[in-house]
Amino acid sequence: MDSARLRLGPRDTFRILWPYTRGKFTEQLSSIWFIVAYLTAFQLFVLGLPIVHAGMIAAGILVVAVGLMFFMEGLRLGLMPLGEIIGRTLPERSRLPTILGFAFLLGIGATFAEPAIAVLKAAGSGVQPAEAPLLYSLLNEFSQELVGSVGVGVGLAVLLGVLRFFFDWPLKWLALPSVSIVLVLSVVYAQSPALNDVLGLAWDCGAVTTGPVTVPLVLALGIGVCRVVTNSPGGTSSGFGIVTLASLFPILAVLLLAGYHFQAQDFYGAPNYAGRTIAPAAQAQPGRSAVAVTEHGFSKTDFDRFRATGELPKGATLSVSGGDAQLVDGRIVVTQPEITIGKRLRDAAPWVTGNSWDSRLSIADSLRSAGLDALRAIVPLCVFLLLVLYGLLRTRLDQATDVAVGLGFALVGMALFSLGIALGLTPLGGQLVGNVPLAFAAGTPWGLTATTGPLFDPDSGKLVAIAFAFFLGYGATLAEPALNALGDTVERITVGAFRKRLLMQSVAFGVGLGIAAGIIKMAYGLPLLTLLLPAYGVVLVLTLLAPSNFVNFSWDSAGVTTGPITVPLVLAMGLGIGGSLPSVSDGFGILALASVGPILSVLTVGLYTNRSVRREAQEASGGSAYLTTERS
Amino acid sequence: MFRRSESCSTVSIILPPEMMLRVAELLSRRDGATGLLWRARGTIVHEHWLKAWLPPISPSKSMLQLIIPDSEVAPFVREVVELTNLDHQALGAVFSVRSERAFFGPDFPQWPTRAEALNASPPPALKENLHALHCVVSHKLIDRVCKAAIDAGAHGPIVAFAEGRGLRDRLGWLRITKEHEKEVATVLCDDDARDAVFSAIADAGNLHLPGRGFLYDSVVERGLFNLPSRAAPRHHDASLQQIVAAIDKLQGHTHWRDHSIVPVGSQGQAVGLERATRATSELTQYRLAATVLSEQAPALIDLLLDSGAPGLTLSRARLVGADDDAFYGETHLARECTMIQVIATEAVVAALAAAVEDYGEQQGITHLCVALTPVTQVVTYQPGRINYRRAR
Repeated sequence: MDSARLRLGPRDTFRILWPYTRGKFTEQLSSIWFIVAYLTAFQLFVLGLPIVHAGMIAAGILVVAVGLMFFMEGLRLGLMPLGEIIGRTLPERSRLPTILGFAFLLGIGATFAEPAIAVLKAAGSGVQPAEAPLLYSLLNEFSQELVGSVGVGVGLAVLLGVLRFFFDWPLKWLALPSVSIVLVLSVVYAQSPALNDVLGLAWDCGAVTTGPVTVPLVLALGIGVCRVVTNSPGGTSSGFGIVTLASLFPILAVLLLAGYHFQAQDFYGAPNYAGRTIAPAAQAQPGRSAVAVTEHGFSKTDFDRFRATGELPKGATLSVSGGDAQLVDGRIVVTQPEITIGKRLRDAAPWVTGNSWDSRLSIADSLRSAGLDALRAIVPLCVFLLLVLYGLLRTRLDQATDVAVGLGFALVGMALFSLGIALGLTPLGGQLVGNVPLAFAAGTPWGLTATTGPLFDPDSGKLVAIAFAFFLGYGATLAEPALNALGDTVERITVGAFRKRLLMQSVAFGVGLGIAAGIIKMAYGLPLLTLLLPAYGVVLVLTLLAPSNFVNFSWDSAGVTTGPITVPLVLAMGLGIGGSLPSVSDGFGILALASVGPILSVLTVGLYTNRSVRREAQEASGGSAYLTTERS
Repeated sequence: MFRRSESCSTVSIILPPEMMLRVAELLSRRDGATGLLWRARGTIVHEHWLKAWLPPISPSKSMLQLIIPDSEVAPFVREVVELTNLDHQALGAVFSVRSERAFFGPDFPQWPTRAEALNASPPPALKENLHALHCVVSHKLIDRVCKAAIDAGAHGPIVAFAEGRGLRDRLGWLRITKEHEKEVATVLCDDDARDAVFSAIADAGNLHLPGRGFLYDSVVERGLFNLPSRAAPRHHDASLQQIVAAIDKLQGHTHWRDHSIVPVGSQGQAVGLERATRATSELTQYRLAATVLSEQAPALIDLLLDSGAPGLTLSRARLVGADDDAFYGETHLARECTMIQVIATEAVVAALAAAVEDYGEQQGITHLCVALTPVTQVVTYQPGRINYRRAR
């Protein structure tokens, strides 16, 4: 092959590289432009607030696009071929126990590598031990056990998923019982206050474990296994389903862990608690400071002046309650009223800072931590896979340089991608989702000093927030790399019968619906289960009706939706809205709803199109004129 | 060591996957009968405005290819047609293309020939005036190509995945910039519609430009197809005669009917055919299809590229038939084959075939089958023929 190799000068090299780079870059831009444009437009035009640190955000978004470009190429060239070749050779070269052992280890390894697990732990740091003792203990003293049990859950899921390919168990009969068990456990847990707090965390753990590295790898493994394993001569199996199980089993694992500690009574405040009980006041409350209402009252000096002079301070509002009101000579006279004097919130919100760059964020530090995350997410997994490939299977890679370049790309891409998210998307999303509660509650806009009142009246304000959440979910999902990979896989496995664009649009729509439902839950203080149970009920019915190939990838799309772009935005929004509403203790649970949404939407699309394709085929073969002429 | 045959045909069967199971069962009951199984999709153009706007969901199909001695083709096709009801309502196709030469490695299963001659007449519904057009393009172009074929009067093309090699392998590490995923559209058409469909595809894909793709035509010996191309709302469902009459009325004459039926190669040139004919090669071309087990494919690919193959099309298929290894009860471990195709002039193909044969004997690649099929017309970019940059 090398003998025929062309000799290329630098100019030709550039002429080959340039269209390639440009094409890939615009491809990624087209996947993120919607969320960026949408967030910007919402902040500027609907909320009427300026964007703080605009320069940094713009640079960050550019970096995200570059990072995604490298990462997706890395998946295409490196990670997915690696997973596929292992999946293909494993059944030929080794026995079932070895394969299952490999699958289990891969699941555990992938979980420890997943960066989003760390996000979840950070999000839980605001939990008040007195309010949710078991949740607090799980996230702090037992956090190792928590990650461990999630890992075992994912490991078992990959194991069962691979076993499913060998014995051709329909995914329905694995997924439906698991979901039922999880739902029943959730209902039982909801009865006890301590266990009830854990529900949101457990459901979100399931959503979070399936990230941008795990999903493509596991999908590729499935494709590989299904290239050789069949259940009947000429039959085909699909290669999906592992992702589904990998998002259900961790829920079960966390629920069981919580149940164990509840039985043992060794969580915070319980009789067998081993740690030190901290006074509630000592607990910091990070995450809520961004939207805390800071200047809504009069100071001591205002009060003293009022008592001395009886003069109302400037910008005061009066409200009267109680007493006996009568209309006398065109005046309202109230006897023995209770009068409250409040301070009117100022409308104009001056800039706190004109800087276009957040000085607290240093590029070097962000780059280092992003690089470390990427190393941790990719290197151990790849080392494991290469060891299996060369040590256990003794196979040679057909195009080893491609895979090597691909793995390098994936590493660089992952690092740049997380850097870009830290610089661009998180600050932009953070300010915005912090500001969304202003639509229906008073507060200080993110990064500004003054307080601004509710922009809309409470009901329509909540509607604005819900609509915002829908499009946020929709846009963020379209930019998710794992969903891109799933779309490619679905298109490949169905040989283009189900298009990537259709899958991505319906999944994004479903996630939007799910997140909007999550905001409804928070805004109106509904318990999580009142929304989850009916949604899963509909899903169960649709699953029983739908043909199995649609079932497989619609359930899988539920697992992939919650990745590095969606999770921070959604958790920040949960905390933001949770902080401005007294009835909500934490922002967990939205992700769980965001996972049901796409199952619903993809199954619906699948059922609809399946029916219409079949009907059209029948019609076409029945009485159509052109066919009879064709066959003459 | 290699078994030669001068009378072989490639039989292709296209069916919905659930229907294909019956054919696979038929194969597995007969010792030595094997075929290659691909997944594929059909193409249906939606005319309802909402569905035309949504990304299409295409019906899924399976494609099976078998190499059969000529004497066995008619009985086997008859059996398949009767089994699957292809001549009545099943949506699919079956057709056979005669190979000029073929040779098989010792381990490549030999098609069982029966001692007593069965009813050797082909089923009555088969047509003998068909052409099979195969178009290899990247997945960005395939929808355009399929639409053009349907608009020119063909049925909905059957599309399967393939991998393109050739130039990519000569670029060193820069090969990562060239995506190797290709899609192959297979279109069957009557010989009077062939030229229109052929030129429509060539034009839609701009196949005379470099790096666009490949289109070739082989003559079908016998075949039948029943594949829908359009799904129209009820009120658009006019018959072909009604449509023809309507166009006659609009045009005011019937000359327009002549445009699409002009034969190529003679004096007449129809509209839109000029470019396609210029890029068409006049030399007799052959298609070489080598089938090996996938793990042995990389070495053979390197060999073919080194021995002067202009470009390769790889497609991976599952081997179905009686020699599946059973594994854990119900589960089968299928063997995967790679079919490597080259289209080149007769001399090049003959040299390649000889090289493959030598290599197979030296390296002991025993599960190998090479078939040479004449190709009547080819459209692709031919370097040196016209400088496409200067011509513009």
